Amino acid sequence: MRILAFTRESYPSNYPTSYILMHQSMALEELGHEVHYYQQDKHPLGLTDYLNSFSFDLIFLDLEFLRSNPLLRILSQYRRIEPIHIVGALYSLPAPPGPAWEVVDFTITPWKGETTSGLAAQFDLRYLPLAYSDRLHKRQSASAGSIFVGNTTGNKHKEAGVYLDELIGERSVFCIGPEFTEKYMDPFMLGSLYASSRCLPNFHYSWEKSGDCILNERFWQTARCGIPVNDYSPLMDEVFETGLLEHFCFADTRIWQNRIRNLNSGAETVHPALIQKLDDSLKEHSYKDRMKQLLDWLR
Amino acid sequence: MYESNRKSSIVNIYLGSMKIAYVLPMTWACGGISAPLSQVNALSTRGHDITVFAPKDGRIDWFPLAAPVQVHCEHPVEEYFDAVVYVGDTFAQHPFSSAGQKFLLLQGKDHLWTAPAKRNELLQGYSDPQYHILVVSGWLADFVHGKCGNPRISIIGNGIDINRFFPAPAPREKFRLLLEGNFPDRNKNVIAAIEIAGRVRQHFPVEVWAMARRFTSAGELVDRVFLDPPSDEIPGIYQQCDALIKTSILEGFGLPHLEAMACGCIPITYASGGVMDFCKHGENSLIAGVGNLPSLLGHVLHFLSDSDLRSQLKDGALATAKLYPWNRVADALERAFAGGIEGKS
Repeated sequence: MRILAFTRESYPSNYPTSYILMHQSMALEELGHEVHYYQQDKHPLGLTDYLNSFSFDLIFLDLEFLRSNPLLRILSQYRRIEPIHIVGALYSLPAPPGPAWEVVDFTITPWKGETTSGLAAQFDLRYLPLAYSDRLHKRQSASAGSIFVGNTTGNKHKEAGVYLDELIGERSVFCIGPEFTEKYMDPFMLGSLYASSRCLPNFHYSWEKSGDCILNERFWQTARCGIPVNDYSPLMDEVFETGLLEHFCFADTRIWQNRIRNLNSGAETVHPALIQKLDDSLKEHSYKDRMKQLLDWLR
Repeated sequence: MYESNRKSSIVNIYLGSMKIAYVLPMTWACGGISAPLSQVNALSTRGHDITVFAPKDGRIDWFPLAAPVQVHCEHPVEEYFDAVVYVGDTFAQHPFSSAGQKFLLLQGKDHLWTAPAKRNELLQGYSDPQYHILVVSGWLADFVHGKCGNPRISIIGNGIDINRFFPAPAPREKFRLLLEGNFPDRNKNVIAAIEIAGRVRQHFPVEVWAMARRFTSAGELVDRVFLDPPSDEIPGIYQQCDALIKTSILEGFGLPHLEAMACGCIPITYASGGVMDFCKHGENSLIAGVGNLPSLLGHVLHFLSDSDLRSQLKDGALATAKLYPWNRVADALERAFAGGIEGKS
């Protein structure tokens, strides 16, 4: 398939969705598809000219883009004359209004909860979690301490301080992101950095706990590369069996922090059999699997 | 389908020596002009009588042309030609009062980069049934047929002289990446290739070269710029580089890709239309969707870190280049000319 994906930036930097799209498009290319990027405000060709220059089979875009009426109009007209699929992705809540949903075949979302249940009653909204890239995120032997990477604006939230400030003060965790001394980690380097770390803290922000749940990309990437130390979300029950939950997910922030301290100091270790179970639990949770699912839905 | 797909033998349809005019819009040393001039030479070798029409003051001394050049005149050309091949937008300005057949040589989607009036003029030409459209790729054929509604199309492709473009491997301390195309130029989009080169440097020590007619403000990311190099030096530049990073938005064919392949320099490229006729991902090149900078960067990093892949791609690239001699293009042109004479479309 030839796919046109809308993006906000040419390379992942400021927007979480561009990291997600990078991993999705790599997976689609590994499955034999061609994924073009279209950055509306910077592209040298207007959208109509670009659409007419290639025969696209699928347009894939964050539903947020469809808050723009001109774009909505172009896509509505285009799909009337060309046999094309349009799939939306709902990454941020609240969702855009009705007209955005009418131009898409269906919408995928990594969210599960009250809001998405309500939307699913009105529109064709399908749960498709985020994932890891089986090319970029691989387990290797660990050597360094614990590392937290939050490349996007998320770590400006006070929740980050609740989880991390104490640990940063104690030098129990090294943090990378806009709010920290080290500002950015290239997504092509992230996997090997994670894989070299003794443990990998992860948490979800409070706004992600108000009736709607998501498993962030870090959840998948850290578990795939190293020893994750997660907060707790009910969605984790769908991935980890109880034996894994008690070793890798901690609802209590204090226990979460102590786990990081202990893994970092070597006071606690994780048995290789448990790591094997962790790896087994992640099978079929790569972006390649997710994209296969998305394409299956189009058939 | 298009005429290049016909099984007809060139021997059966060849009708003898033809008198042919090629009309050029300009004479700059660039792929868009060297390709038709190479066609002229290939057809001349076969005994056709070719005249090249070019603008006044235009110089073609950079190309070893085997045909006479006449200056465009203000009035319609009275001399009879069996076939006139208009290059670019010349069909609107340079009429021939008596021409057996009229061909438009379409090497790219030039109309997209022009003002609306010019765009309409070009699109009308492509859809005008008096013209038989010679296209250099299947991508352009789809455009002329599907969007312009003109079924009179022949895919002639492009060629490479492997006696000029050949590999000359030499040991290097660092990998060397080549960027090709004018900067800035909206379609060539070299800025993306520069960004990729900069990001590659975070992973690998690489040297970055660029080759262009115009290259404004190279900056620290480009180590060496070859500005408007003489045509006989171009193969040497490719030979000294490991990969050609091409981030054009649209390419009618992508002659630099083929030239690079012939020299053992691997194209790592966007899937910019015409290149897909001969660039095959993992066989002779690495390909990402247009604009997909992360994917293209991933390909470059993979290329630099995997010697088996580099070796496999090089074998594939050299084999591909051998499939595109100018004789193949001359065959396709003769089929198109013969098709026109026989009233075929």
